[in-house]
Amino acid sequence: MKHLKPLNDKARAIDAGRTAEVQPMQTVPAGCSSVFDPGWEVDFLGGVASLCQPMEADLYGCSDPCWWPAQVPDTLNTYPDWNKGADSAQRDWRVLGSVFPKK
Amino acid sequence: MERPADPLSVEGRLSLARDVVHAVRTDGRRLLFHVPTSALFELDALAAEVLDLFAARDVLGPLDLARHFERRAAPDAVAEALGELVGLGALRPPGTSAPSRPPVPVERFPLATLVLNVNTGCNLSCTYCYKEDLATPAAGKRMTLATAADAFELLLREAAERHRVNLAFFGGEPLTNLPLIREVVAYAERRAHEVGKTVDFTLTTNGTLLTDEVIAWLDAHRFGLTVSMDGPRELHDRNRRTVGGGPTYDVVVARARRLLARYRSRPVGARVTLTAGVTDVVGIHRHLRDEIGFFEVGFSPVTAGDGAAHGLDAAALAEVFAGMQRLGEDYVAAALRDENLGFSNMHQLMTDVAHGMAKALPCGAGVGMLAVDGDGGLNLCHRFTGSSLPTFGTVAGGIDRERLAAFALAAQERAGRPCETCRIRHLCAGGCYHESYARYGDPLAPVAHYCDLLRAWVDFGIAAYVRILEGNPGFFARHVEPRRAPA
Repeated sequence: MKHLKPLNDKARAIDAGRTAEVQPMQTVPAGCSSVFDPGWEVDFLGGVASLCQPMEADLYGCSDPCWWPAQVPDTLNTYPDWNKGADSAQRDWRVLGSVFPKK
Repeated sequence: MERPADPLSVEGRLSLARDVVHAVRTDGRRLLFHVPTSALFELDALAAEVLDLFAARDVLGPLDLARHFERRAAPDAVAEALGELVGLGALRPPGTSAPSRPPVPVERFPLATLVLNVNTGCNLSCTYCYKEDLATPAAGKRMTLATAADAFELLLREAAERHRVNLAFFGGEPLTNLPLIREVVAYAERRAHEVGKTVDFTLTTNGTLLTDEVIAWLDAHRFGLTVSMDGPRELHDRNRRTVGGGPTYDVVVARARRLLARYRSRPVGARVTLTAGVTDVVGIHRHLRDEIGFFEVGFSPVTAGDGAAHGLDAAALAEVFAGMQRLGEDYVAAALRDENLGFSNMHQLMTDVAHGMAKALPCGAGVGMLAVDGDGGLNLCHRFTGSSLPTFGTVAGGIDRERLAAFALAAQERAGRPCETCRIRHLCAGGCYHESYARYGDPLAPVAHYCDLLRAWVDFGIAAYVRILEGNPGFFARHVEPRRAPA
């Protein structure tokens, strides 16, 4: 830290990134809503069904309605057909190819 | 085209987290005491101005800040200071709350200390004694060797992972049952040796029974000793009387001087009970430390329900804390000369601030320490033996883990209690169970009658810590840390 100078052991530990104070993610209010925010590991019931980052709702669940994951190309303008024939990410993930910038 | 750097990388509006930030000003320095962790930071001018701005205006957006600091501070620097404060949770989006710290269930009880109440009887009858089971020495309930041995076996079992265990002797006056103490020490030394542990002994005494022979024996077994004394004659004799009502100062002082002259194994401390009329903290300390020679002196405001004649009323309590601060000033002056003044309360506060102690429970009672009454019942601490608070198992049957865990959990539940928003809640953690029990009949009621004074005392401690840190930073390594390190 640059503007805050640690003065005691605990402050030095926090400054060095060493602190045992672990907070469960669902208690940290951040981002667009409490449950759907990227990066949540579990929802408040301990489940993962409606989350963005892990498996259930990854590509299609997130990229269209709310979030644009980095691994999904621009499906609106440049690559409208990139996922043609791969309707289920779970089953057809091998079909999904890489995309390259067009000249 | 590259966008100009956003002066505030943190999006949206922010507000000051008043339950996280405790701003302290000392000698022109600006400090941030981080309530959830007890971390202490010094703010630079920019961070202090940011904090002041939020304190004055409550909610600010990026534009407000940009306007305020325009042409006075680089946007990057403002964003950086802001980021550091947000990172600590000192600023957060309005309407949100700090992440709660859920209570930690206590499943194991890694005992380090067991207190044995070897006799409820005492040859003194101090007016303020809190012991509900106090009796005369002959009428007292005496612990048997079988109970004490069971107790020590329980300690060895529960402290399986520790190298050192501590056995404390308490009463009544423990030296009225010295034959038992001798037997217990022999038993404990043999058993500790067999299982490869070190056992330490401590004893709190009124000093009246300390003959040269007793002193030599205690010294040989390296007892940590605390003598209860209340200061100069007129203060000491006010409350510390014999069963027959006579004064005790002369005999206690004579014995204390002999003890201090020949005791070599450990420093000896004095413990003072402050009551109505016995509030001269500086004078008492000077007498006990400089004139009698105790290594350190600790002060406890008396534990009493409302209406007790010896209780401290609001004015007397304020006087006590003012005296503690005056003596605290002397402590700082001594620390700057690299000397330890021997003022236990202040030394403990410096230890807590230097470390950044963040407690979920006020003390180790019921977790690292239990006290055994004459019947072998397990109590939260020595103050509760003989009280009407139900016990938590027996030395023979073991700890009632379920009830003790429930108590430890309840002690951490501050929802709805005044502690929830208190800035020293992780240093005080609700205060002494017995103090609350004696005053309010509930060990978990906060000690509301001196919360304000305690908060001021902690602020005084933070400022004192910073002054010592500036003038003699090595003091903490030389005088404070050694207390925490295993001997």
